[in-house]
Amino acid sequence: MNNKKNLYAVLALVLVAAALMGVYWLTKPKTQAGAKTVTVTVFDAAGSNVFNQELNTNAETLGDLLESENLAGFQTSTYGRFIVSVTGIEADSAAQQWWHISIDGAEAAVGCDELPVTDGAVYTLTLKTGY
Amino acid sequence: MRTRPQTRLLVTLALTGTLLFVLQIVLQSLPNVEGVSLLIILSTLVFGLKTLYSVTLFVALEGLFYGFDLWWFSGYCVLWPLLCLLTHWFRKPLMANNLTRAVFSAVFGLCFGLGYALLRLPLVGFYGAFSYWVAGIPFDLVHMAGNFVLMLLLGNRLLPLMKAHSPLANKSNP
Repeated sequence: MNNKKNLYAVLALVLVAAALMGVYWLTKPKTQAGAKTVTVTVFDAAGSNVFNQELNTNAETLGDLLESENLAGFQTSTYGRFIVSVTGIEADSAAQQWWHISIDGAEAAVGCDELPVTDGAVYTLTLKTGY
Repeated sequence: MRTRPQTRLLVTLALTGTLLFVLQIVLQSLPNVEGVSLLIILSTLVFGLKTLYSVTLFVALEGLFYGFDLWWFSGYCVLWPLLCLLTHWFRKPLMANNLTRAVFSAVFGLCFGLGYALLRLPLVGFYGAFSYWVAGIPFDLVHMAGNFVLMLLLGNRLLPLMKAHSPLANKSNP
């Protein structure tokens, strides 16, 4: 009896997992091919605007854009790539520094390789201190 | 050499806390595959709420190693003690069947990202928390599968061993 209940529970878990995967794919940001014009702006830890430029690109994700323009350095972890330097400014992990990304002022919820490059968007990278 | 049961229990709980930390470090190269849930669940079934001492040590070591930041506070300070409390709450069905333990551990793994998102809700708002949770769904599914398989493979072997060697053996579980 108990095992039957457990098997139903396992089945329910599999169904929930499948449903969640569906939610993930449906809400996943979609990339767009072709030429786009975007603005990239960078602030250092002191809050100074050290870079502000309009860029023409065919890149589909922010990670690819930053890489193709030689704007950022990356480190690859088991969770994917993350930005460690922008315009030569390194984030000091010992001082809990990290690069914050926002798109048109809204905080990014995903990493740079999941962020689609959208025509006309403004990407702001800010060096933050403290996790 | 004979030792007092309380001393043996204290040492066992301290070793469990340290083992939790070592397990987390050893398996961190595999994203969201961890043995911490397994050990907390089994330890709570053997030592009861005294496992909170081990969890507190583990949480403190994590803070010292990675920093006492928002992630430490929301994840480690809340979610791991919560697993201990939930295990204690459901101890009767969990003690009876390893498949129940595997399902319980899997559900905890699946809800881990949601827990983080809820704890971040006051700081980032609904949209931010929802986006964070949805973006992490693939990792939550890996967490779920990892927890399920680990408990299914090891739960039935470790629990009798831990019970047999527990300083609380042949005594009522507080």
